[in-house]
Amino acid sequence: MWIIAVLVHIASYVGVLTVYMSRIRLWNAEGVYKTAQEYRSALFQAVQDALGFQDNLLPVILGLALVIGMQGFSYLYDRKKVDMYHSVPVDRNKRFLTIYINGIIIYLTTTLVSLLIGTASAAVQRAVNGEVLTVIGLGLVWNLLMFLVMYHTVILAVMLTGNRFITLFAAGIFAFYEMMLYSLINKMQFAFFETKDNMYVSHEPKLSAVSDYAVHTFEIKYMEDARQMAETALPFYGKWFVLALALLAVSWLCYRRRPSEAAGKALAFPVTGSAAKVLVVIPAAIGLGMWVYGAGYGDTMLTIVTMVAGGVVGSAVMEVMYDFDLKSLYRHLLSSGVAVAGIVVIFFIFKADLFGYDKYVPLEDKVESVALVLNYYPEAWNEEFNYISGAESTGEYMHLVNVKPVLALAAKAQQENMEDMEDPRTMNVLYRLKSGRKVGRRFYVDYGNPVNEELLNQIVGTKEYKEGTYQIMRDQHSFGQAQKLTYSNGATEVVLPVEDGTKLQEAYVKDMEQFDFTLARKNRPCGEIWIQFPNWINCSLSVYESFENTLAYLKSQDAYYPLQLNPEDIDCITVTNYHNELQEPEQGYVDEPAMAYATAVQLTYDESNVVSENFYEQEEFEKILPVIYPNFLSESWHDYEEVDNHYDIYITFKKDTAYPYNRSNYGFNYQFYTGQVPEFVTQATALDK
Amino acid sequence: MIEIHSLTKTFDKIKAVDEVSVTIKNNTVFGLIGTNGAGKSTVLRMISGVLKPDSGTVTVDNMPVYDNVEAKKKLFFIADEPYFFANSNAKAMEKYYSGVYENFNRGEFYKYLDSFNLDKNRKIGTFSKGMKKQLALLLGICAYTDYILCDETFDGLDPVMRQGIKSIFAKEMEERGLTPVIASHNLRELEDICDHVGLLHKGGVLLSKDLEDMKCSIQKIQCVFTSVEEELKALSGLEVLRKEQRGSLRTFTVRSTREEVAARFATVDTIFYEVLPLSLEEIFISETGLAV
Repeated sequence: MWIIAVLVHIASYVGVLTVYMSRIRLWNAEGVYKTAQEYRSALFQAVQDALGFQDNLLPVILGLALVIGMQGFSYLYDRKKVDMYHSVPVDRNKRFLTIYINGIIIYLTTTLVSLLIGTASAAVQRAVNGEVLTVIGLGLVWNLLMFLVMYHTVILAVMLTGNRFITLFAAGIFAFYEMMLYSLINKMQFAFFETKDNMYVSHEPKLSAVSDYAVHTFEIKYMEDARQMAETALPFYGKWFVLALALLAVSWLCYRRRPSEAAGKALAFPVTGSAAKVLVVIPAAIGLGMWVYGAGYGDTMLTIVTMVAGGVVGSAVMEVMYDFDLKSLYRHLLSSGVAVAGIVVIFFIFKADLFGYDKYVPLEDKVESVALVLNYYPEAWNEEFNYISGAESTGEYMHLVNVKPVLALAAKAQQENMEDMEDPRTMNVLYRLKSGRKVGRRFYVDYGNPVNEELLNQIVGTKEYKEGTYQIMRDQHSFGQAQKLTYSNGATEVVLPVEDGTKLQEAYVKDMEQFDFTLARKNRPCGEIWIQFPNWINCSLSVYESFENTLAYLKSQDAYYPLQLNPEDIDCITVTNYHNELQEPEQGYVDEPAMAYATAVQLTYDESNVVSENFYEQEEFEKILPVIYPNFLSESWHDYEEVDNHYDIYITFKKDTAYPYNRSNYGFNYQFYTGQVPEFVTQATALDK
Repeated sequence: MIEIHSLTKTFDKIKAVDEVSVTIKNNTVFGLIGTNGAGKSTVLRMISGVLKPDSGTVTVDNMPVYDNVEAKKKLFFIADEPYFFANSNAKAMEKYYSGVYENFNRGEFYKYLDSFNLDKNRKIGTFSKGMKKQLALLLGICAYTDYILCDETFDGLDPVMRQGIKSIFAKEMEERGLTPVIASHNLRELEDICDHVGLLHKGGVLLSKDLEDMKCSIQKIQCVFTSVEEELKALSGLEVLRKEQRGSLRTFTVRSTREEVAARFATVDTIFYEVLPLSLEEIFISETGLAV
């Protein structure tokens, strides 16, 4: 046991550290690091990554917990050993405590020794400082608590079972059951509910330390400093400690009540057999059925037959496992029947939406506020300049109190069919109820329906929407720290003074007062401001012709250029006609109605149907340039059919013009406005020209 | 004294021990005999505190034994297949047991090892089955507990070894009042060692008596009667446990004293009659009705 633990820890810490440090030294030799400081920072980071919050330690910890826990209490599997150990005058509690502490000593000693070797080796290379040591300490506690949770889980599994195989099975179930359950619930909701929200509220494990560890080790690893790491890790320390204590208490109680005659049997407490069977078989069979549902193109009959068959076979397999006897296939038919009935009931709860998930629209007076994401996915970051998701930012910063238009759109979506909508768009909504509950839903809104325009204006035009969606509307901190500011209209790019960040923000915020759905829908941006912040954070802001204050600033910096290009600056226009009308549509199957937008028709391009033509004449340029729009500025507010997706336009600029073109590209992609493709272009790119 | 009262234990709905009540007096050799599956091992495992009874009580010197360290200090249990640590030798086992049993006599243990020609440094895994049992017995004896519980421990020991162990038992009983409790289905092995016998059958105790009393209360008679009437006359009023006939030679096992039998047969006309010594095996078969 000691040897295994030592080898595993040495490999996990010292081995990984050696690999990381070698890689940094190699990169340094290749000149990746410009300064000695950069190199040293990389070394510090490597030591932290290897010895602190290492995100590939989970299997090592799970494996060690399993081996140490099972080995320590392995005497309970063997009648000969039980006869000896339980007959000698040694207090049962003392024996439990001795074995238990021995396991922790094995883990802790080998971890500490490995960390000590790793730290000493890093110190020799001057890659250790106070911050690194703090992170190593935080990581040690993080991994130790995770080990304790898993170690206690394994001990509980040992106490409830009588042989190694069943213990392994039980430990696996205990460790991953909640994750599996929530994954299944999410999968079924996506499969059967059209309004399943995939942004705000997902069913995440509440107790599973494995899930916490898997998700948050990675997150913590990339945090800026030890303080931030400690702040993030601390709640998990508390949660895991309590969880570990609870598991230990239950394990100890089971140990106290565990009969000696359980040695060698599947279950130490036969009374748990039927309950365990039902609890394992139901999700397993439903999981199998859902896999068949996905693979079988949503065939309900096939799915339910698979689930029932899975339930019957699963129950039989569990009984065989309990008794190690094939003849036990049909024992305890009552609990098998309960499992199968449970499977059928659960399937129909979801399939027939018995609880009205898709019909849910809260009453207005029950809703405190709403957050939502329309087609524009917010770019957001926190004070430390780390990206945060649109769901997180709107969830925190958007508090629409006039919920009536949102509820109206939600109710309307239930009456309408997505296929009948002119321009269906998804809307993710988070209802914050006065009860404290949060409910997420996703539905379609028809942007092409004039009735919806007013409702959408009542949402998009509000201060709450804008502040929740656009960081520039609420952030008093970042824009003064801009590291690069540019303005581009697709072809030109002008660098603006970084010290103007706040000034530009003020102008833009003022212009955004007029922003609403109608403005965004009916106007196309004439350019885009791009801002880079520390930590490689950047954001783009659409500029409209009506944004007087912003345009005035841009003009004062000679940054504004008309959208329409000067024909004299152009060397060549290449138009490619993909002839989409001839391409084979490929309808992908998606088993999740809520994700139906992903079923958009994809085309398999037949290269023989693609025609490209170069245009070099000024007269041709003059006819093409007024009817094209840069891809770069296309926004999702508009009808996708406003631009012609059959054509792709590539413009090559002359190299000697005075126009401030973005020289790094030498060329730009544009699209024709629908219905405005010049005749000579159509003819030149026709298949049978 | 070990007192067992209404002891019951069920495994998977099968009653292994059913309302067993036995008293094991100090300084006697108690033989627990019974057929396979009679519940001998289960009773011993309950006495030693390994198993918790479903109902009933087991006390050792008035102390309940289950989960009671003080009671267990008085017992040493040798299971039918004794366990030794993996890759260990006699020395390592002595080290463990001397840590567990405070009165463990190390000097005597090594002395016994020598006299039984068991190498203290040899891995136990290389020992024969008999050698392992010898080692377990020596560990048990040297633990210096008041009671040593042996489950089928004498099976597999050669006669010399068995005799050696018996001698040690006798010595320890005399010197410090050791009480061995020996469970076996091999009745011949117990016959010459046990003072008191508990007979288990199908989970329950059929009888528990001093061996001599037991032998006195059951008689085996071989005789030839002059007529059927004489036979009926001889047997009337006697509890016949077993009856055999070979030609005119009759063999009876009856529950009675030797004197009663002699008195009864003195009044009956027989060609020949003789009261034969009864083996424990015969008593067992008679009591359980398990004639082969």
